[in-house]
Amino acid sequence: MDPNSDQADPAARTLKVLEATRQAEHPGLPAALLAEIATIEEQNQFDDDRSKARRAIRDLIDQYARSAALTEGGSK
Amino acid sequence: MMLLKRVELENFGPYFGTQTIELKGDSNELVLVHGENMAGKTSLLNAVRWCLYGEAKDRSGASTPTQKLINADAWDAGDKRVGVSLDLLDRTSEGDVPITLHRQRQPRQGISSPTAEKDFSTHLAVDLNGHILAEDQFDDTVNSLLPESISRFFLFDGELLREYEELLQEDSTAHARQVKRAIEMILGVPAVQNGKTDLAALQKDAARAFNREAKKHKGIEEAARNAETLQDEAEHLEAEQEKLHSQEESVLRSLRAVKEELSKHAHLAESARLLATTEQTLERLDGERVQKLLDRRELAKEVWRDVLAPRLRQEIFGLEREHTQIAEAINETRDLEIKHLEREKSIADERCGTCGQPIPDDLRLQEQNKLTQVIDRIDQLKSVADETRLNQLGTAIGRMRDIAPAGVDSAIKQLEKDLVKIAIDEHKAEREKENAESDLRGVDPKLVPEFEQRRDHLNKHLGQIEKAVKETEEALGEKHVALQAQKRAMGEKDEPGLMRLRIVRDMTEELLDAYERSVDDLTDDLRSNVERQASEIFRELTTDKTYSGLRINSNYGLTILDMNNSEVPVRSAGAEQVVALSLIGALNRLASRRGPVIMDTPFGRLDRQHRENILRFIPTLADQVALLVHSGEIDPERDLEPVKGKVSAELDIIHIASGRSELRSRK
Repeated sequence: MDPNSDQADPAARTLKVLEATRQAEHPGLPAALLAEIATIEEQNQFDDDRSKARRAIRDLIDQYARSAALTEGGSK
Repeated sequence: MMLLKRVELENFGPYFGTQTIELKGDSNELVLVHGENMAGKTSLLNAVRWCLYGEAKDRSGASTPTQKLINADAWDAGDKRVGVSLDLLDRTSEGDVPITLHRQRQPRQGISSPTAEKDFSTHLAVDLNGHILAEDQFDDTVNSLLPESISRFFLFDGELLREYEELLQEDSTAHARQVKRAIEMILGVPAVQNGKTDLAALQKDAARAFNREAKKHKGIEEAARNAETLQDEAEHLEAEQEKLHSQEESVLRSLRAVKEELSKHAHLAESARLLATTEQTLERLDGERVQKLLDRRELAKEVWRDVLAPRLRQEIFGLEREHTQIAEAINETRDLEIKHLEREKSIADERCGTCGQPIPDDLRLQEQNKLTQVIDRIDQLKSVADETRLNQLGTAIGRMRDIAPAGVDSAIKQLEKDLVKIAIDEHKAEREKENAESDLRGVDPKLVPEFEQRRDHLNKHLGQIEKAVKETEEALGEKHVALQAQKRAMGEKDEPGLMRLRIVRDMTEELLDAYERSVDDLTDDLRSNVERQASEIFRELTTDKTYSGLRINSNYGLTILDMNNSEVPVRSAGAEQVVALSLIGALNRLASRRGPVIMDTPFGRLDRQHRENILRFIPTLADQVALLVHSGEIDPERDLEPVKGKVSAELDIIHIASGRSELRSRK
């Protein structure tokens, strides 16, 4: 197997599975948000202290939520 | 990808003073380190492990204390420091980053004879691309290169391959779960599992923030308060559940330790059984020997009969002949006396005694003559037909027969043979007893029963914990259902202060759900990938071409499949090793981190053909592979053909004296 292929890259494999679930179960969820969270988790997967990863994800969700609130608020 | 450039040992195990191994630090590097048993192969593997993670392990997986790590000669000479430096290369997409890690332990100031771990202090140093980092950056650096949780697939003890066999049990042991966790780590599952945990924590925060705000809003304040209470209760149950899981882990760890002790002492139980059996055997043999000696003494009293027997037999023969003659004479006399009386009467009556006819004169004369002959014969027999003598002879013969029964001698000979056999059996039993006693010397006879009792107690405790886990799970499920009801009761009251909080709450919830659903899909996907890769490697490694591949179970345990895709129920120790290597190979292909593979005694249970297959495969296992082998595993002259031209360096561990070895490069 080519070690550079998607199949050999755990991060690519993980994202592929997550994206399939998103499409099937939560199509309203932004794909980019899921991909960004997956990257944060991949980079911090061996850290026992989860605070750094959680902070980054919270900020990210907050950012997406603000943007969504603006859109929803504007449409009402 | 991490590569090794240099290993420097300082008083580590059998390596006295400073000794180094230089590597190219390049891809496609295969290094062979030859060393006999006890020379220091495992110490070399341990040195790398110890530098990275601060722990060296013995064969049973137990941690080796610092005192035992320090070279004995150095210790005696007063140098009680032990250290290892690793020069590494982190090959990233942006280029190679040189890293040096150094770990040293030495006695604390003022302590000249350290006896415990607390008597030593640790010094750590990290040089990252020319920048000296703080000591507390050491673990983070190691974690980013090769986390300890996945190190078993890189720093690899062939003797411990059997631990992968445990993965085959559906009813997994704590150890199998640990291996399974490590497998999932190397495959990158933590990225999803952590995502799930992180999002679960964030979802709780988001729900709490929403509820806090919702309490301020008329119409939904009660539902918000209820939701808050339910969330508190659910979190309390989750904490309880976590506590139970940690208790379960701890009990399982203890159980594994006890089972290991029991398995270590299994031979002692066998020795104890043997000791009891041999003691019984010796007691029985002693009884048999005493009885045989008594029998022999009794028979010895009768030996004189065997001495007299030939003479007596002759005497009996003579007496029996005389007895027969007398008996015959007596019988004849009786017959003749009857005839005499009949004839005498006939002559006197002058008539035939049978028909009553008168006897003529000439016949009467003849009868008279015959009567005279009968009387003469009776007179003749009277000297022989002695009834008193006949009785005396009968008594004498009877006594003689009693005196001389044959076979006392042969009975004694049989007893002697029996006694020799008893002596041999006694000797054999004595030797078995001595061996068993030697095994059991210094061992507390209560040890095994105590371990068995502890195992039973732990199993019982485990059962109670599992029951409590189930009950907590059910209660938690009920809380979640109730929480959803309260959430519905709050509806979607989108006042400006609530909207963003609601979106954050719902988005986090959806993200959590996506992660929760994906964990299973991802592990299924990974399992099938591992199965496919391991099967491919297995077909390459196995010498049995009737095997078609491997099948994976939920623990990542692999079973061999035959041509009909049926599981092969029994497999040899060699096949186990090939399966385990196939798993290691598959995991390295699919790993989330890449690093050097150091394998200690990888060919222990393999025949030559398997060795050849594996040697051919090993250079493809990782970018950098170091094999620590002994001469029983690999004969450099005969076995290295498959990797000819691929070995970049060969070293020998030379055993110089007890507890002292040197690393030498082969030219």
